[in-house]
Amino acid sequence: MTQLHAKNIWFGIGVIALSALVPLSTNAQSVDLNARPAEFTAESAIVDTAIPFAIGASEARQSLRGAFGWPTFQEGLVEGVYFRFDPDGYARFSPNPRLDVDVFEVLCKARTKDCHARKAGLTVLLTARGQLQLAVEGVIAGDSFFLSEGVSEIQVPERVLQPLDVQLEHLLSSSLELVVRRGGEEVSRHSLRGFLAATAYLRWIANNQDYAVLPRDWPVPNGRQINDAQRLTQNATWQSPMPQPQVIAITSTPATSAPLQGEADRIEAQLEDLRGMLETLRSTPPSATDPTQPSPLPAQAIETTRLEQQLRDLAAEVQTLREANNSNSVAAGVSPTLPKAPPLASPPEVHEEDTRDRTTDKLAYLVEELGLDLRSAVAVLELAEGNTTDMFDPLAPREKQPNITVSSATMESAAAPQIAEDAVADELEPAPVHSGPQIVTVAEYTLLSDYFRSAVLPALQADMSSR
Amino acid sequence: MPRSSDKLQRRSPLWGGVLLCAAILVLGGASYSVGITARHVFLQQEDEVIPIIAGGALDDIPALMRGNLPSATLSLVEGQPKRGLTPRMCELPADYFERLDRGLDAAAGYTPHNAYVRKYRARRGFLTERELRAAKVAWHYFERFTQETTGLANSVGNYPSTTLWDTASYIAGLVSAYELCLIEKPEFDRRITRLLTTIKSLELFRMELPNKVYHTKTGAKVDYTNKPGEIGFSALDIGRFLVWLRICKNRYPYLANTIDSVLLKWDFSNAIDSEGLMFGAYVDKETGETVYAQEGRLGYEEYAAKGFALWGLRPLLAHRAEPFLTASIFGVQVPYDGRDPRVFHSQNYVVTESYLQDGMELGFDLPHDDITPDWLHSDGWRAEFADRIYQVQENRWRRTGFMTARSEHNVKGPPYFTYDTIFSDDYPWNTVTPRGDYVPDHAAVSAKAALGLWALWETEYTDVLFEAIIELYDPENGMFEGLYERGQGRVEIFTANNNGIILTALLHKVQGTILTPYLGETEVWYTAFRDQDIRLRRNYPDPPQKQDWLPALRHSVQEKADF
Repeated sequence: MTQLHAKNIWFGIGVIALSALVPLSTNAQSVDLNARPAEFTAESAIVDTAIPFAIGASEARQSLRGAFGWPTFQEGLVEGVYFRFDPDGYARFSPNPRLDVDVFEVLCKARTKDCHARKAGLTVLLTARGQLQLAVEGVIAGDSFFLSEGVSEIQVPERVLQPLDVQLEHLLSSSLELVVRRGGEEVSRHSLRGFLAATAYLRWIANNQDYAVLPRDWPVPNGRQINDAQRLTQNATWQSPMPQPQVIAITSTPATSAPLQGEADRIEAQLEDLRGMLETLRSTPPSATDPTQPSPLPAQAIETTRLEQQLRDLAAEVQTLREANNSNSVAAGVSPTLPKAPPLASPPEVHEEDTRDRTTDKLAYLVEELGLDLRSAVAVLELAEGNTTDMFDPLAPREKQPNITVSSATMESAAAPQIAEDAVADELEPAPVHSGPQIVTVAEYTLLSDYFRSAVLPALQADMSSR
Repeated sequence: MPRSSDKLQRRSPLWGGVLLCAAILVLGGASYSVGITARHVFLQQEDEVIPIIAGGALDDIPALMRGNLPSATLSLVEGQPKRGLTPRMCELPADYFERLDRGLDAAAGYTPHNAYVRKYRARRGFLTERELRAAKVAWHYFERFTQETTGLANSVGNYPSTTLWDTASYIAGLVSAYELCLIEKPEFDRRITRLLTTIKSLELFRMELPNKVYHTKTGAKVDYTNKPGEIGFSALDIGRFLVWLRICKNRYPYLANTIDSVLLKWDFSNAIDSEGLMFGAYVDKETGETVYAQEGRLGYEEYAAKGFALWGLRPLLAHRAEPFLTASIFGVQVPYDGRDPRVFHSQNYVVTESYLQDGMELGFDLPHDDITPDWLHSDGWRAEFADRIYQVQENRWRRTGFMTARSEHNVKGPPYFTYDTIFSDDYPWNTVTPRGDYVPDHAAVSAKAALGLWALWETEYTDVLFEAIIELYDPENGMFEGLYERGQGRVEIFTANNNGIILTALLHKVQGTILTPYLGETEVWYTAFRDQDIRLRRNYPDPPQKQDWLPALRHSVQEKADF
């Protein structure tokens, strides 16, 4: 009886509590008094509207009459579409200045740069890897996709709905409409006007408004932080996403040593790796090879023995020649102001005046500078003779390779195409003085380590295994 | 006979010359003698001296003494009695409205003095049960969302932030609630005193004028994110606030000293320039310096200008309609501001609100007018323009079926605020966000605009508007902002401005023009700091004289519909 009474009391309390809560919850549902935007906070601002998205864009003040809102926005015209965006990332792209028709609307999750663009059934997302991905409403398996540019159509594969590769992205950017067909009948048609601008905007804000992620030919304003008009003339401060030349133009002006020094160190490290690989080869026990197997290259072995003998004969002469060559190289026109090159770079700058046996020099280079043993050096030379067009010969005569006067710098730039272009490009102007028939391109340069891995190492391994 | 004819022939030329000379001599002598005589007569009279009486019209009173002058109003200049005060609704005689002169016989149009009689009259009478319920609900917004700590009311729901514009709406609600007998004097006094005390203690924007936004819980100046900071001042907001301070001061003389002390902290030196243009201020993002920019477009600008003029300032240019253009919409030449938005970077929104406020609060009258009846509007062109604003909205309803009562209003969710315009950016019926995006889905019948039109234009159309919005309320939170035009239902958000204007409209039905004449002699506002240079530095005015009045102007009237 007591328990029953207690239950009744608890039941009563529960009913009272419920009856007290129900009106509250009902009221809360009926009117959202927090409808006011918590979004208008500094934390929600993911875009700085003062940084122009494209040339001609400008920041403007919003016509606020109330107590809250975004104080500024940015508007402009790019790639044939007008745009406006707020500090929270919300943007509209439309061919109409009123931004009322054919609108690509960009919406971002609150306080994040997780944004997507949408336009009437078409949604464009940016994947974690920075690829664009389309989502089209009402599409089922088996539908076919066509891109129309106004006159003709081309069919695109179904993987248009997967993260887009560069080719598909360019194709979509240059098309006017995406048509979805099912069994030959058109299911939907989606305008792609503003696709390029909207997707560029997605990438731009995802990368903290970095101009480097904008497409080629994007009208990027110069000088993100420039306030003083005079600074506009300082091209060193220009920021451009445009690809910079990766092959440094040949010039008689010496390169700045500071940025090159780092590259030299990197190449030095690669050489160390190379030496390590050679050491590994050397340390390979002879038992690992099969003595029963006949030598695949007996003629080469004989030749190697002959060359070893020849090398020993000439060993004493090499040092003498090098000393003489060091003095000749300065006299041959290499600028005396050239900064001190790393050890690797010095031998290629030696220019022979006479026609001594270059094989000896190559061998000396391989042995003394790269640390190869004689056998390996000879093997390298043998193989190099058969593949001279693919490799860079640092000791090639100037008549055949006229553009290698500063070959050390060229090698380094080829090995490291992302070298600080801004600093170097300012000082290395194209030199029209070299008008030889053969222009050196980046394709002609190959890292020695890469070459070694691809060509020499298998041969050496084969050679070692044959012994 | 032949002899006499010879005589005549001989004498004729000589005689003529002699006669001429004699005549000249006689006339010259006579003129000289008359002149001399007249000179003697005039010189013998006493000099007439007009004595300059100290403080009189001819006395060039030094600044130190100008504060003692009475403000020259129409009643003082023309020697006519001032308009009387209308009692509170609960104190009105039952037959009050039967005896009320509504000028029903007066012909519509301009008078010789450029006053204007509108084609339609304002709605007058006691509040009905439904109207009284709407008033109570609207007042409930302020009961619920007024902060006890500061006495400030939130602009939007429970978001603790406000502007001077919305604070003026709160004062409007407070005055209306008192005059409609929803609250009694102790409650009114408690609230208004608390509010004025807080406003006096507000930290100003760079020692000049109130910041655009304040936190309602702390009274701290904040930015648009409600974080401590300052963003400038708004001349329009201040202008509306001045209107309501003047209404309070004139209606309740016991508040005069408190109100004057609030304003005597402010610095008006940058708010109005020598040409009479109003300027707002904002902070330059790069340099952090104060930038003063002309503020106000046709509609709002004149209303706010009259707010400044009510306190003796002289916004001469801001009060003029020029430059303005007209757009023909449904046969009505709708006036809009002629300043090019591309040049001035400010949109020329045409909405109903500022015309309603001018009509309800100021009676479309000039600031110095304290005698004309409610149906005669001494600021004639404002009333005539307001008639066009009303007519074009009725015409839209009649031609398209869309109920139309357009104003700026908040909306729930992005973009949170829209200018639901009659005309802007070269488009009629343009609904845009504060940054200019066209958002037609947010077009709505604004509750405050609908009830304001209902109060000032007693027509069949405004009856329809009334029916549309009078039940749009939440008893706990106030009147909803409006009714979406495209059928999305109510605009489910509650604001101080909407509820304040709705209360004003209901009060106007009972009492007519809200602004009443000042019944005192001089004011502390004009006499304070006469012994210092503060008045000069802060641009405090002298009591306005007749030559300081804003002019009564007229513009060409549209005779017939323009299609």
